[in-house]
Amino acid sequence: MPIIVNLDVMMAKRKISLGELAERIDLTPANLSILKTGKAKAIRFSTLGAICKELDCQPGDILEYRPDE
Amino acid sequence: MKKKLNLLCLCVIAAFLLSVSGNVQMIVRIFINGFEIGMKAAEEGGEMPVLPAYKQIHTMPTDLTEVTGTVTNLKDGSQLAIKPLVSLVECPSMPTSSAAALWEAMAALVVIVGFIYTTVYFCKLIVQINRNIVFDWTNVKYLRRIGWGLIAIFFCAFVSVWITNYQLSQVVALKGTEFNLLLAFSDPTFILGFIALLAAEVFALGLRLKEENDLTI
Repeated sequence: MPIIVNLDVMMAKRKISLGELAERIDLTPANLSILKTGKAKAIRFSTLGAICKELDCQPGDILEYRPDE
Repeated sequence: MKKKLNLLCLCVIAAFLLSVSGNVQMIVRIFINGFEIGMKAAEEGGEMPVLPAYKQIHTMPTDLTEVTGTVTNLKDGSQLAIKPLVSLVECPSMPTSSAAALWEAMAALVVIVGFIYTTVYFCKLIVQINRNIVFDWTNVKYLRRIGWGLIAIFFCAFVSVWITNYQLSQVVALKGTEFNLLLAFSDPTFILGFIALLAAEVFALGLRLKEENDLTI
């Protein structure tokens, strides 16, 4: 899939753990892990909004388009 | 939901039993009749009579003015014409090729095994659903197996009918009718097989949607 999830990069920049972020945005750590590892097929606007709010960033900081080679 | 499902399953089983009851009754009657003839011959000490072999044929009326057979009007005793579509006819002694005989034996075996196979997978499917495992790839696999099993049953039965019809069309004739295989397609296993395959594909689509939904965060 050409959409890359850079959640781990943003989390490292903000020095926040997966469990803590999951608790703050009211998501299970398992689901956040699916998103972080790029296994997710889609992301809800509400989830993306909550992540951006907590990490103080833009959607483009989390999602990146990289065409398939 | 389960109550409704189990009720429908009972209906399916009842419909299945009713659909085979005619053939079972025929087999039992023929068996009893043969047994009685054999017993009578043994008691009288005479020679065992040679019982005629009957085969099923499918015919289509071509000329309604020709008399194929008659039935008796019980009120005035007059004879009324009949046009049989599916009939059991006495099979005259004729040379049968070993390939055709082998095929008929194999087809009969496949039909019996196929019915057991599809019934087992139908029961497995119902057990899975009763355990609340509905949208699962195992159920899709079971439905596909049921579908292909039913189609295999139909195919074997159809080829047997085709061979019998072809062989008998060479040696017997029914006035005003012609041998026709189209009636063999009225076998419900043919359409039920495709319906099961269709249901399997609907399940598969639902499963893919569910998986996508599960991976939407």
